[in-house]
Amino acid sequence: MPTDEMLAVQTLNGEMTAFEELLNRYKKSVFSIVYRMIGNYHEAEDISQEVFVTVYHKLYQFDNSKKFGPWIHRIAVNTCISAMRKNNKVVLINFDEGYIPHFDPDTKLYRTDPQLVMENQDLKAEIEAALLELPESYRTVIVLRYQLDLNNQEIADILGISRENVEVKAHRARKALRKTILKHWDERGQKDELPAL
Amino acid sequence: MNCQLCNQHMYSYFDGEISDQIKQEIDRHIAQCSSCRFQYDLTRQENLILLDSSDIPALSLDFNQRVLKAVAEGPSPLEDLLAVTKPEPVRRFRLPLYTTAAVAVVLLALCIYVPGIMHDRQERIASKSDQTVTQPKIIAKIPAGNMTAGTLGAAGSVNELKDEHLEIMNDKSTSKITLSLPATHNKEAYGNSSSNNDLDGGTIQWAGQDVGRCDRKFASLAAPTSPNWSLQNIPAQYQLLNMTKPNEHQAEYNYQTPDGNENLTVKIIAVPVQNSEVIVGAVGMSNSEPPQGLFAVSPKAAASVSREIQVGNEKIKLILSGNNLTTEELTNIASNIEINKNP
Repeated sequence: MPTDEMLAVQTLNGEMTAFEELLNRYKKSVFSIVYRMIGNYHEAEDISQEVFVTVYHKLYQFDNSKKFGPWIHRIAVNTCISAMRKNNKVVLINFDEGYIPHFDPDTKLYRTDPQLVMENQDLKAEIEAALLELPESYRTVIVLRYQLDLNNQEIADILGISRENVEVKAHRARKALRKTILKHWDERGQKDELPAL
Repeated sequence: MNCQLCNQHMYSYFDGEISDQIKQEIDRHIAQCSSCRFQYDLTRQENLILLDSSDIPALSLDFNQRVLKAVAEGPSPLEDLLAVTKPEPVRRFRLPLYTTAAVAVVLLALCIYVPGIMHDRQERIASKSDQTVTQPKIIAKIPAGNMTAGTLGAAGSVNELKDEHLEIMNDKSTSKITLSLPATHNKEAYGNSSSNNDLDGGTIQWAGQDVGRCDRKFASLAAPTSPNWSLQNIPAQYQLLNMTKPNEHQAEYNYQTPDGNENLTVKIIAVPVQNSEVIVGAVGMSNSEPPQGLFAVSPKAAASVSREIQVGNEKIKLILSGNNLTTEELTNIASNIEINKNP
């Protein structure tokens, strides 16, 4: 079975079957990233298509000595960010910027009885909504970390930042996500309880 | 383990990035602290939801076809590579605007105040010639058409000097001067003869004088000559101020009255007799009429008189000029001058 890198070389040599194989291998992960980042199915599909077209035309830039996966995922992330900026859907924070959102451990938000308040699907919708409100760098890290189940080093390779930076950013992103969720609950006056999963 | 530390390590707890010891401490703490237990449960559920991709819808069935179609409509990756590797236009180095403006001002000032920088080539060469030879320039006005100037020696603002060709600046050349030099030195001079114009670049000067590239060629016409002469019968009121010798064929004596009101300049140009025809014909000796219909030779300086004397096998031309001296006075002085060549 040819590796991704071999398929990339074959694609450069004009073998469309090789490119189609790459398409089949990565379309799900690319669409997952895009869908989580964008939150709209049709828009996510169009952007995913744009990602693969970009990959095809920029294939000569791919360093064959490196892994193909991080490269295509990075293109997916960058394409998403470009699309969000076009639609003004993004809060701009540089990946390397030391942005520290103020996470206030409001004692009012410390719930004492996390039992049977919401259905699981409600919490899922809540998290997805909160995710879309996060700055792009936080959203990207969370999507790559949990949606693609990548480790910090792999995320660092995709984003072009250090592993330590990814660790810090992932932690801050989770805190920001939590704060957003609890803020929504508080705005709706919901009880401070969690559903059982 | 307190609540702050527990919350601080909560995400690392689920990501498996903490030691077993800390993990056990957290487990013990959340068993006792309801607030931290809430955080624990919420984090666990968040992780489960974030890791869950089951809600992500499937792509359209025709997604592959759409991508392949879009790809096929564009250039191939190799074409993209070639397009990228095309040489980029050279980026011109651009100076800041204020620097460019300053340079422009300096250049403009140079053009205005530095003499000769904006003049045509003839004047530049003539100016260069004047630095070494202060003899008045002779301007030749040439009518249109071919002509033969007879035994002429023409030096001047010369464009190009080839073995058998002497070409005078002739951007608008419509006429030609054929210079019948001695057998081995026949030259042709092409000059601009636009009507009513002085010969552009055709300032004919004494052979042997500095006229740019031409002087060396014509200097070769003259045989080696002693540079030392002595002038006699200069009016007593004139005292020799200085004497310069631009080269071995020329000398210039500057005289001045004691009160400094009158200056007299005597220039000496010596050529061998066998070459003197060429030299003399080029400028027209004193009082000689220019060949009618060919060109008119007129001294540019107002008060200047020349005289020809033969000393030994050399023909010496004396050119006298001075301020506050009329032509008659200069002629009188010139006629009385005797010149001797020192051994």
